[in-house]
Formats: sequence, structure tokens, C-alpha cells
Amino acid sequence: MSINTRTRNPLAGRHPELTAPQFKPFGAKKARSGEALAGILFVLPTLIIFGLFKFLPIFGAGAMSLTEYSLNGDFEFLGADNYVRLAEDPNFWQSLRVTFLYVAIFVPFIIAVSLAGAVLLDKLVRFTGTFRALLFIPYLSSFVMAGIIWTWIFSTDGPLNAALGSLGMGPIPFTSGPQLLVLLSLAVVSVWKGFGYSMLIFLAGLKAQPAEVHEAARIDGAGAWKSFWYVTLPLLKPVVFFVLVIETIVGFQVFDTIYVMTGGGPARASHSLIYFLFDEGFKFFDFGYASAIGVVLFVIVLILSLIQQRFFEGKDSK
Amino acid sequence: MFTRKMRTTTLATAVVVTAALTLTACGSAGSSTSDGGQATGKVTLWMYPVIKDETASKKFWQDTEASFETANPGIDLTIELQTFDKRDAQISAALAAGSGPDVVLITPDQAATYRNVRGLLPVDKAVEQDKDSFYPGTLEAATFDDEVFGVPLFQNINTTAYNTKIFADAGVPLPKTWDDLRSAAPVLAKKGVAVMDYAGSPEQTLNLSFYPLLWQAGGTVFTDDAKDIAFDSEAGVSALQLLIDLKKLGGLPADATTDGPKVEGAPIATGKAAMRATTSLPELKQMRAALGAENVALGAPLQGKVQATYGNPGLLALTSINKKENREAAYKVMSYLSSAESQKALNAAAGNLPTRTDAAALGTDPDSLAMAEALKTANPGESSPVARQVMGALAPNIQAALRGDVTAKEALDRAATEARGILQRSAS
Amino acid sequence: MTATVSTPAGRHPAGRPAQGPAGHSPRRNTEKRRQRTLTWVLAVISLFTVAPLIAVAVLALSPADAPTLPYALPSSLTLDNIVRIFNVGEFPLWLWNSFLYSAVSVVVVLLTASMAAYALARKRFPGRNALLWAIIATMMVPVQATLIPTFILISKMGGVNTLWGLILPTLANAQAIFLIRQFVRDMPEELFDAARIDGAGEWRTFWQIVLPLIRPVLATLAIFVFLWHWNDLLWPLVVGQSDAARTLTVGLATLNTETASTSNVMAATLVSFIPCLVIFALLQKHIVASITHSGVKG
Repeated sequence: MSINTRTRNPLAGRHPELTAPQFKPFGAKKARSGEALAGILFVLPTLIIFGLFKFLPIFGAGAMSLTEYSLNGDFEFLGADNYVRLAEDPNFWQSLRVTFLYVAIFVPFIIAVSLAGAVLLDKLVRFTGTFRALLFIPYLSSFVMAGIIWTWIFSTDGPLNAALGSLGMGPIPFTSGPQLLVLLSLAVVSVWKGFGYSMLIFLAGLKAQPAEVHEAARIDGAGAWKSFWYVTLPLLKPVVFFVLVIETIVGFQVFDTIYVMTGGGPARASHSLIYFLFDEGFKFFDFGYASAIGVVLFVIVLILSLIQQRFFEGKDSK
Repeated sequence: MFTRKMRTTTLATAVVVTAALTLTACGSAGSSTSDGGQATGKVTLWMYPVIKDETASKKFWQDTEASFETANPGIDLTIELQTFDKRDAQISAALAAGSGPDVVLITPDQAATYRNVRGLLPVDKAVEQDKDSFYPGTLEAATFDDEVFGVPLFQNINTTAYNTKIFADAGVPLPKTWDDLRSAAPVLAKKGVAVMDYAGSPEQTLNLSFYPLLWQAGGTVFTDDAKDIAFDSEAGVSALQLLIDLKKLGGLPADATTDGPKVEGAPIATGKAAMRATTSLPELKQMRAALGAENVALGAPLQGKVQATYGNPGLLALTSINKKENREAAYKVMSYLSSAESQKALNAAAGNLPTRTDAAALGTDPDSLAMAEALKTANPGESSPVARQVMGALAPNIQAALRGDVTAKEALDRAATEARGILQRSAS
Repeated sequence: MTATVSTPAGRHPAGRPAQGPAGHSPRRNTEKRRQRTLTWVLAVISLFTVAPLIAVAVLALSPADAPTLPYALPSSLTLDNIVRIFNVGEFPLWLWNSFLYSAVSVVVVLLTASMAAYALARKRFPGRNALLWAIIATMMVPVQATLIPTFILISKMGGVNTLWGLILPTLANAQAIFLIRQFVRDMPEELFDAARIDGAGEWRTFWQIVLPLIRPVLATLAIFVFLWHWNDLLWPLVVGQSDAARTLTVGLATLNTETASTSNVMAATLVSFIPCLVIFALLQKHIVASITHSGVKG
């Protein structure tokens, strides 16, 4: 891997005045080999579990993508045929476009909402547990439920259009109108259902920040906004990176929301890549082709994550 | 199977009791289960909640399992109740791993798809004795390349259901033909009611939405030899044009393009739509519950050029998991369950229709009579190994036409081009 | 815990150290007003997040096949839908399976993931970065694409219809490793130096220094891992072909006919929702408790 994820440069403090110096170079070679051994022992259980249940099936899926795979286990080696077919399939390009549009809407949206939620909860003194639970409830709910509720909210006779109607507007076809509108509506549902996750992660990050840092900033006369922007957020960077990577993955793998809301319609306006994969795999049983879609999706997300990583962590070790 | 020796008196008694039970249990349908040789083996059957009440459902299948094993002491039958949700993912994973059911309940559409990926085995042997007893249509729906790939267990039928109150209040007669629909639409639209409910969601099988209209127009999805697409015909255009016209006249609900097939909460259940073209008996029950029993009535299937509706058999299919040594046993299970006697019991519990002429268990109430009548014009869906893929190509284009993005002709032409590509690939 | 100096009283819960009992009063008033606004804002947001839960409760208590939300208020409420679920003979078995599936996974995932995350963040060993990225990359492969290969593997191992077959593959949780790593990475090095000077072994350092410090993260993760397993449908559906290894979500799904009424579906949702809420309520305290541990004196 060409991108270096090492961050152990002893000079790497981003705010040396705020955080304690983080890493010290190690001395003897012996200590280093002992460290390596300890490291390997600590990752060993994970290595075994992942090797067997993640890496192996993923290689299996990769191999499947080079074949025409029948349900009884027969397969025919096709080489890159499935990929050539993908490149020539207009439905693939349509799904790719849908997915990118959706991610572009969804990711900034959910990060903004969950960060705002976390900051509000962090600042609250009383009833914090209650409000944390109340805000987290949608994450506990099921997609079936989210589908029922939001289909109704967005429907032509639903409360949203009734409200717009009383203002002399609408009705707006939230889930059957133009593509951008449909994807925006879907993003709203996904954000509503999913923001609790990132909110709690952000909150854990905020709670882990040393209090002294904020105190120092306040003594320096920084206002709330300034202190958030220049102190809180930089300190939150590892967590923001985590959330960004995860939500990008979640965005690219959007399926359940679409499944319960639009079924990929109207006219393939919300036919995402995973929807495409699911149709090819579990509706038409073309597992070779479906695996190829999975591989392409994987490569796209991996490239994006590495870019994000370079942006967030790479700078640290410049 | 030859080593089973009965030594003790207890076992001997058991055999006598068993024989007695078998005789009484089989009764009139005895011919389908007694054919000399004793089959042995283990058979796992995946059943779905076709019986609505889960206590009744559990008991029914447990009893069935027990009575089958009594009648066939050499066979160990296990019936597992599964869920409809994500059933294709579950079945296909089981088939791919080779651990799962020997026999599974599927639709003709699924049978075509599974057979295409070599997940099913032919079952001609399970039906050969009773071939003449089955309604020809139900067996045809499971026949591919002259081999039968599913034993018809029961029959689902759909026909037109009306909210009679809406029509009576508006002084409009119940629409029976396309012309009736076109003339009723504007009258009801003035009252804010769509004349017909329509489920345009791509998750919905076209067998319950667009295809019945296509058949009513005299068209078909595929040509007779299933080698080419036929929906881009004049009949196809007229069927899609009907929907577009209705939409323009205010005759379809506002969200028809994306609505799913559910009755509950749908326009038909809230009085925003006046009729529903493909309604099954359980759905009729839900309509009655929502609208009041006296306001709902069943009618004949709609008539365009001809009358047509969709009615599919539930098929017991033999999977590629089934081992040779359990083959005979699996045939036994299938023929036992699809016997006239078993079907009668299932029909009574699940409220569906039999697939055999000698199991006629239809009541004489108006609903049963309407369903029996609808059965005559029911199409079990056009069988093609790529039927599902073709639906996947057609549904989004129908949505586009309903949204007014393209004309009926353009939509069908586009879909046909895509569908021909699918056919070509599957043939090569 | 030598590294922890702040006490609960010594730190304002809002994230700012209190000024002592005699703070400036104008500032206190501003703070009071701010807190009130904050509470109102959060209350309004809560309306949007909680309303659906109330809707679920109403739906679950509505008589089946009768007009109800969102189109009408139910004319009467009934416990029938809920009782119906409790009366299913296999219900306790499903509940137990779900509990095992979730609880075992939480314990194993938290332990193995924090061990791995610690090593990936703080230990130098050959192939470390490659391994980290290989683990992160597994998240980018859609589960739908690996479902069949994973199930074939489990089937070959004889795990179909068993709880271990259900649990094993889900123990590989990349998100947990990645998340913990992000928190362990920025821990002050002095902590570890101090441990080294004390002569603490690798395991003791991990157990007595790392784990207590990442308690808030572990609590958060425990909630998520539990939820993911508890609400998981696709994998348990594929592995649990019969009641012996069926979880609650799958079991409840087998009760629903194709035309199941919304109130029955929602009753099932409610029944499986309540344990989630309980777990959340139990674990969320630990997110707060961590405050006392987070103030590390440099």
C-alpha cells in the first residue's frame, strides 16, 4: 500500500500547546521485537476470525465474479466477461449515477445532523440521558417501520403535503417526482433513521476530550463558535475521519431505505448499485454478475476512503 | 428399506394401528398414496405462512407431518415454516450451499427462475398417476421443456373488487370493461376518488398489475415459443395507454406510480380509490374490514378485448439439494400433500382454491362463486426463464410512461429492446 | 487509576470545569438561559424522533384489520396483537437465541476488537498498516455479495442451523476495530511509559490502562453491536433454517402472511424493540460515567 498510515512521528502534535506530546521513539531493538510479538499476539484472534470469515468469502466473491455461477455449484470460467458486460450495461451506469448523487446528498447531511446533535447533547447539563435516548430512538427502530411512517409523510395525501397545501403550495411528489427530489427524500429518511449512530460516536469523542483544552481556549477569550472550530473540531479529527469513512460506506451501500420507500423507482431514479446487485443476485440469481457489481463498488469505496484517509490522517505525518 | 423387521408385539400393534389410520386417512384419495413399494428416507419441506392464523398454521403442518409419517412409516418428514420476507435470498443461499430443503413451496415465476440456474429437479414421477386430476392450467404453469418442475398444491385467484358505496353514491354502474372505466373515471375524479387502484412499484410483480391488462388487450408478454418479446405490440400499447388515459382523467391514485400492493392504508382501503383489479380473498377480507362488509363486492375479471386475470398455483418443487436416496420419499411427500384429501384440508384452513378437479371444495357463497368464475379466465403468468428479468426491464419504463416522460409506444419499445438483450444473453 | 485526576464534582458536566461554588453570577444567568434554550431545542427535535415510536405503539395496540393510524385514530385499543406473539410456543426459544446471538457477540467482539485495535494503533509490527486497511476494506464489500460464499463456508463446517454457525462469522467486526483504534491512537504516550516503568506486562497494560480509558467507546460499541445483532435479519434467516437456531426477528417474520396487517407487524416490531431500549438504557450510563476518566493530566 503506497499510502502511509503511520502517524507516530514524534513531532506530529497538531496543537502542541493543547495536547501533550503523544509519541516517543523507542530505544532498543530488543524492545522493538518484543513489541512486534505483542502486537501480533494481540491481533491474532482477529486475524483468524477475519481470515476465515471475511477475507476468504471476499476472495470467494471475487472468484465468483469471473464466472457464470449456477445455484447447484456448477460454474463456467468467463474471465473478465462480467466486467465487460457491466461496462456495456446502461443500467449499471444509471445505478452508478444514482449512487453518487445519493452519497453526495447523504454524507454531508448526516454528518452535519449527527455532529449538531452530539454538540447539543454535550452542552446540556440536565436530562442528558433522557434526551440522548429520545434522539437515539429512530436508530433503534426497524426499516419496515421507517418505511410505513415516511411513505405516509411523503405521500400526496400525507401531512407534509397537507402543510404545504395550507401555504398554497404543492402537492410535491416527494417519492415519485424528479430524481434529485426523490434522492433527497430518501436521504432524509436515511438520516432520520441513522444519525443516532454517528451522534453517539461524536458524543463519545467529545466526552473524551480533555477539559483543560476547552478551559484554556476560554481563558484565551475564544467564543463558542471559535472554540468549536479551532479546538473541538481539530481534536475530534480521528472521530470525524471514522464517521466520514463509515457514512460514505453506508451511503454507497444504501438499500433498505430504497427497498421500503420506492423499490428503486420511479423509472430507476433511485435504483442504487446495491439495489442493482440485489436484483441480479437474489432476484435473477446471476451470482457471477452480482459479484462483479460488488467488486466494482468495493473498488470505488476503497479509493474514496484512501483519499479521505490521506486528507485526514496523511497530513498528520507530513 | 428391506431390513425393517417387526419383532415385538408392540411394533406389530403399531403397524396395525398405522394401517387402520392410513385407510381412514386416505379414504377417497387413496390412489395417490398407495403404490406398492415402501419408500424410505428423510425429507425436509419448507412451507410458508399461507394459513393466516399462526397457531392454526403450526398445528396444521404438525398434523400433516404426523399423519404423513403414519401413512409412510419409512419416511422422516420435517416441515419447516419459513418467512415470505427475503425468501429468495434464503432459498438461493440454501441451494448454493447444498444444505436446505428437499421440497420447497414456490410460485411458477420462481420455478422458472430457479430451474434456469439448475436449482430444481423435475417431478413428473410425483404427478404421473394423477396427471388427469389436476386442472391443466396449473400443471402447465409448472411445465418447462415438457418436464414438470412443481406439483400444484393450491391455487390463488384474483379478481375485481369494488367499493360499491362509492359507485352507488356517484350513480355510476360498476365498471366491467375498459370503456366503463374510461367513462367512470372523470365522474369519480370530480369527487376526488380514483376509479381504480394501481400498484406501480417495481417491487410488485407485474402479474398483479400490468400483465392482466396486457392479456385483456389480447396481448402476451412473450411469443408462444417464448423465444421473443411480444409486449411491444398494439395490444401492449393499448393496455399502457389505458393506464395513461386513466391517470390523465384522474382515474388513478396520485401515487400509483410508486404504490405497493398492500391493501391496508392504500387508497382502496381509505375510500380514495373505488375498485381494485386483482384482489385475492385475504385482500378482500382486509377491504371489508376497512370499508365495511356491505360496501365491498367481488366481480368478474375486467374485460378489454377479452376477459383475463392472474391466478397462480403454489408449487411444491424438488430442489437440487435432494439426494438420490431420498428421491422416492420426496415424490411421496409431494403426491401426498397434493392429494385431493390433503388439498381439501388446506383449502379449508388457508382459504385458497384446489388445483385438482376431484378436490372441488368451493363454497356456494358469492365470493367463492366469483372466484370459481374468475378461475376460468385466469392466466398463471407466462413462463420463461427470464420472466423476472423482463419484468425488471418493463416496470421502470411503465413508470416513466405514467409520469409522462415518454409515450406508451416509446416506453414499450425501450423495454422491449432491453428485454430482447436479456433473452439473447440467456439463449447464448 | 493514577492517571485520572478529575472527580465528578470537579468537572462541570457540560464539558467545562466549574468555577467553584462562587462563580460570577451574570455568567451563571447567561449559562442558565443557554441551558433553557438548549432544552427547548432538543425537546422540539425529540418530537420528530419520538413521534414514530408512539405511532408504533398505537398501531401495535390497534385491532388487526380495522382502520387505524395514519389514516384514522383507532376506535379501540387491544393487547391481542402482543398477546398473540407471546402465545407462540417458540417465542421463548427465539428470544433466548436472539439474546445469545447478541450477547456472545458483544462480549467477543469487544474483547477481540479492542485487543486488535490497541495493537494496530500502538504497536509496531510487520504488515500492520496493510492489515489495518485490509480490515477496514472488508466493510466496503457489500454483505449481499459475500452472503453466498460465507454461507457455503459455514455449511461446509457443519454450522447450518446451529448457534455457533450463526455467531462465528459475525464476530469479524471491522467497524469495532476501526472505531476503537481511532480512540486508542490519540492516547497520551506517558500513560504507557508510566506502565512500563511500573513494570506492567503487555496484558496488564491493556487490561488496566487501555480498557478503562476507552470505556465510553466500549459502551457505545456494545450498544451498537447488540443492536446490529438483535435487529439482523438476512444472515440469521439464511443460517437459522429451523426454530433451533432462529432469532426473534426471523421467528416473528415467519408469523406474517403476505397480507399481514400493519398492526400485527408493528406488534412484532414493538416486542423486539423493547429489549433494545432496555439495553440502551443500561449501557448509556457508561457513556456518561466516562467523563471522570477522560480528564488526563498531562
